[in-house]
Formats: sequence, structure tokens, C-alpha cells
Amino acid sequence: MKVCIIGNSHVGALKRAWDNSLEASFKKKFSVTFFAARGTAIGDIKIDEGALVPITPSLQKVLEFTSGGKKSIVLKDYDMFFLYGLGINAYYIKDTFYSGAVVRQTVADIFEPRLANRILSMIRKGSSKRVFIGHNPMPVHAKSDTIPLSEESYNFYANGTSLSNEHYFSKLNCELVMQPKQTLVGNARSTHSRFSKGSMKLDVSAKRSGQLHNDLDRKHMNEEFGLIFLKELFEKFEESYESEKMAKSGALRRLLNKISRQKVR
Amino acid sequence: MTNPYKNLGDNAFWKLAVADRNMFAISELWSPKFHLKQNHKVVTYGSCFAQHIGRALKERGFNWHRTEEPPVGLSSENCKIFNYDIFSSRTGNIYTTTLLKQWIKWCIDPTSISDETWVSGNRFIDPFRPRIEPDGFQSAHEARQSLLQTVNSFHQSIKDADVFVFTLGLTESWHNEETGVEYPMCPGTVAGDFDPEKHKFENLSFSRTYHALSDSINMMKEINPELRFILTVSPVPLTATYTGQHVVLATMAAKSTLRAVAHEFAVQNEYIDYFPSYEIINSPVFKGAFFEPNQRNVSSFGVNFVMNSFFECIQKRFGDVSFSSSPSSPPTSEEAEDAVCEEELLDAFKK
Repeated sequence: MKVCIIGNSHVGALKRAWDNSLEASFKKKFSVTFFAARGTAIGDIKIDEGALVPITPSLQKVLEFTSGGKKSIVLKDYDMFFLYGLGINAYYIKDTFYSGAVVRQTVADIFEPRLANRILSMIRKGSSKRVFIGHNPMPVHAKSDTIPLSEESYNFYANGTSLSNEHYFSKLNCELVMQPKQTLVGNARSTHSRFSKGSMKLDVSAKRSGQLHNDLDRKHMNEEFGLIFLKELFEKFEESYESEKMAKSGALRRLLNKISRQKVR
Repeated sequence: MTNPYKNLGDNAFWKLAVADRNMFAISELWSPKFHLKQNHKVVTYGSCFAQHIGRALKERGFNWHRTEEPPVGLSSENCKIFNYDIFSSRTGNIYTTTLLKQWIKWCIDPTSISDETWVSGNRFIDPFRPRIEPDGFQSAHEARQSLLQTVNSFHQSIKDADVFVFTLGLTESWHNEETGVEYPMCPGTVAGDFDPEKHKFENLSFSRTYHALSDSINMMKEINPELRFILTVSPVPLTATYTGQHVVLATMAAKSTLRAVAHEFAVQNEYIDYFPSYEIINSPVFKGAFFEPNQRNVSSFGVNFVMNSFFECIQKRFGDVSFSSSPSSPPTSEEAEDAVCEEELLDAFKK
């Protein structure tokens, strides 16, 4: 399965896990190409003949580096896309009832001004393949480490994610994914601090590689986090790939049955 | 020779309180009965004009308590479109005291909540909040769930509140003769289909208005014995009347009825106060200065003048309140006109 991961600095944790610690069994099933740049630089991109093409030489160099030499993101080359970070935050919906229209509008108000939406819109001009979206990691609040994850708060997070998918993302053949549960603490808005210790910046060139984040950084996660995240993500990819295949074969079967019935007549 | 008038203050005399003053210097129209503190939970409901009270409370740093809040992230523009942060819960306009009573009965006994839904194309309308969602609901079930949420939130707001502000708006009402439910708007106007066999008009008398409000207040006091009330009467004239009278007469009759009812409650109960937004806008003293050119809509200047009076009177009476007498940004003309008001849609039916 060919996966394209597009994002900002948060992709760094995933790429390190992919490069350094992911079991080989995953690499037999998945081929992953990373297109990422620090900050909002990935926004300097345009759609051109079915490919996302960097419009600045600096972004071109960075994307070539992170992807292992590719000059653009040729959409038809991938079975699945994952947009990570890019200004998206988690959605929480408490036990209040909201209509589908309210949820849809809320997600639109939050998501549509974001860079992730701009990239998604460009992808949709050249591919109808499934797109998964991951919000920024929950930040670390050291005080939260000792507070066990509240199931109630986690349910608000799960509810927000599920309703966002039901009323908004599913209509775009997208899915918002949750941060792995075992990385969360307290009110489900914090990541345990062990997942940010030793976090490294996204490598964007030979020179700008292996740089540690500032000690005070609470937003970027490390390779251990990336590994947990990738494994959960791959499970989702597999499920989605299988269900898409089944849907296609079902549709094909129905089509063949229809044709054969017509021939009998 | 002495007489009881000799000891009265300036405000008791027209010449001193009105004739000798610039109209904008006329003040102290209200002497609040109880101290509204900034930490008191205040909930607001009623007709269109009530919307300004909630907004003004929030702008002045008071605790405008809302129990049905929008999801985090919904823009303020869309909050308004979806009727969040208009009243303390998403009831829509409650124009009559009988409709208020219906809402309170529903929250006390949710089994009594009407399951009536109207269909419009492939969307479903809640007859009791016909404009609560701009495009209606996707199913009758969704409409029902939403109504149940609001009833629950309305109930919670009564339980939580220190002060319940209610703006009386209309005496004209429409109900379903078969089921007994009252609608905020005549079926067939904003939504639904009018059925002359079952949809009946009633222009509520003083007695009907009074008793419905009395029942409402008694039921609310059972839910929350400490609850206090501020009643106001909407100064906004009727958009249209079904009484057969000229709309000016119908307006004056309705407002006079509502004003008299509010007066009765305020003089009879120490926990019920009356704030004179109606008089501030409508009194001839103010020469109609607060109305827009259509002589119906209250201008942003008028809304601000009323709300400033509200807070200044509290400050004057209790002194220790520290808040700005004007909001950081007074309502714009658009905001004042944009009060969510289904009744105004009746204007579309003029010939």
C-alpha cells in the first residue's frame, strides 16, 4: 500500500519512527513517502497536472530531502494520504446534543481556514483516494503526567472526533484520526511528557538534521510517540483499504450480475 | 399647610423630572429592588428585545448564564445563525406568558413535550422553534433530540439562576386546538402549513396573561425557591396583528396589557422587579428618538441608551458596582436590527 504523508514539523516524529524503529513487517505492507516542511512552508505549493508542486526553490529542496528525492507529489502514485499537524486541533464535544448541521458548520469554521484544508482541496483536484487527517499532538503539561486519563474527557474527545467524521470529513472521503489513547493523560488534552523528551526537529537538509527541540518545547513529540502513532495509523489504513476493496468487489459483483441478467434476457 | 407631596423627590414631579430637563438627562427611571451583582447568574428569555439584555450583561462583565452553549469553534456569526448565545438556552423567542408556561411545564414533565414536527421538503422543522436551525433538521428524530436538549438546558438555567429576566412581547398567540400546544408563530408563516380546523388564534386577555405568568413563576419558584425575577416589556410594536384592529391599536392594547401584568407582579412581590425598557423607548418624553425610520425597530442608540440606564440605575442604587456604563463596543446598527425575531417575518405577508 503506497502512503503519502504530508505535513509540518510534527511529521518529524513519524519519520524518525519509520526510519529507525518500525518493525520490518510494516515496511513489507506499506511504502511511505514523506513530504514535510517546518512551520507553514508546505503551504508554498500548487496543484499542477495531478501533482502538488512546490512554488519556491527552498520548499522544493526540503521536499526532495524528506521524500528521498521526489520533486513533486504525484497524486496518482498513492493509495492513501495522511495530512499531519498543519494547524489542526482536536475536537471535543461534551454530552450536549448538537444537530448534524451545527457540527458540520463548527468543523467547517475550524478546519476550513487551516492549511490542511488548502492541501486537502488540492489533493481532491487530482485524487479521490482516502485522506486521513491527524491534528497537532496534544501539548505536554508536566503537571498532568500524574493525573490518570479521565474516561469522561476521553469520551468527549472521541465524541468530537466521531461526530466531526460523521458530519463533515466523511463527506470528503476523509477521516480525522485520534491521538493514541496510551499517550494521553489528564483531561485528554495533554500528552505525557515522556513522549516529548528528546524530541528532534524535522530533518529538512543534510545540514539541518539531528537538531533537538528546545528544552521548553511542549508541542513536538519524539520517536517513541511516532512509533505508537504510526502503528495505530497503519491499522486504520489497512482497515480502510480492505473495506474499500470489499466495496469495490461488491460493486463489481453487482455489475457483473446485472450484465449477466441482461444477457439471459 | 402641609401635604404628602411636599416631601417627595424631584422624580415625582413632571416639571422637575421631565419638562425642565433635556430628554437625555432624564434619569433614575428605575430604582432596582434587589442588588444585581456581577457574580449573580442571570438568565434571559422572552421576545426579541430580551436578546439585547443578555448581550449587554455580557459586555459589562456581568454573569450572563447560558446552559446551552455552542460547540467550541463555531464562529460568532454562525452562533447567531444557529441561535446560540441569543437567550440562555436555545428556546428561540418566547413571546407570550402562556408559551413561557408551556416551556416550564415541559421541563418539569418531559413526557408532556409535544412530538409534533413539520416537514419542509426533505427537512424537518421544530414548530416550537421554527427558525432555530436555518435549514431545519435532517430528521424528525434529530428535531426531537434538539428540542429535548433545549428543554433540559432551559430547566438547568432555572435551577442555576439567581435572576430570571423575562421580556413580555405579545398577547397574540396561536395554538393547536386538538393537542393544546401553543406555537411561537402562526403555522404557515415562518414554516408549517396552516390548518384552519385546528390552528386557532387567541388574543390573550389581562387575566390569561396574568395567570399564565403567575403559574410560570410559581413553577419556577418550586424548581428554585431563591430565584428572583426582572420583568420587562418589549418596546417593539407588533409587526402584524390578527385581531382585526388597526396595528397601532392592537400594539397599544397588547403593550398596555403586558405592562399592567408586569406592574401587578412587581408591586405584589418583593422578589419580582420591573425594568422600564418599554417606557424608555416608548414614552412621548423621548419623542420616538430611539426608533429607526420605520418607527418600529429600535436603533442601536436606543438599545444602548436603555441598557446604559439599566446599569446606571443599579450603580446609583447600590453604588458598589464597578463596571463600565458603556460596552467596549456599543451595538452597531446592524446588531441592533439583527436581533433574531421570527415575528418580523410576518412583514412578508403584507399586501
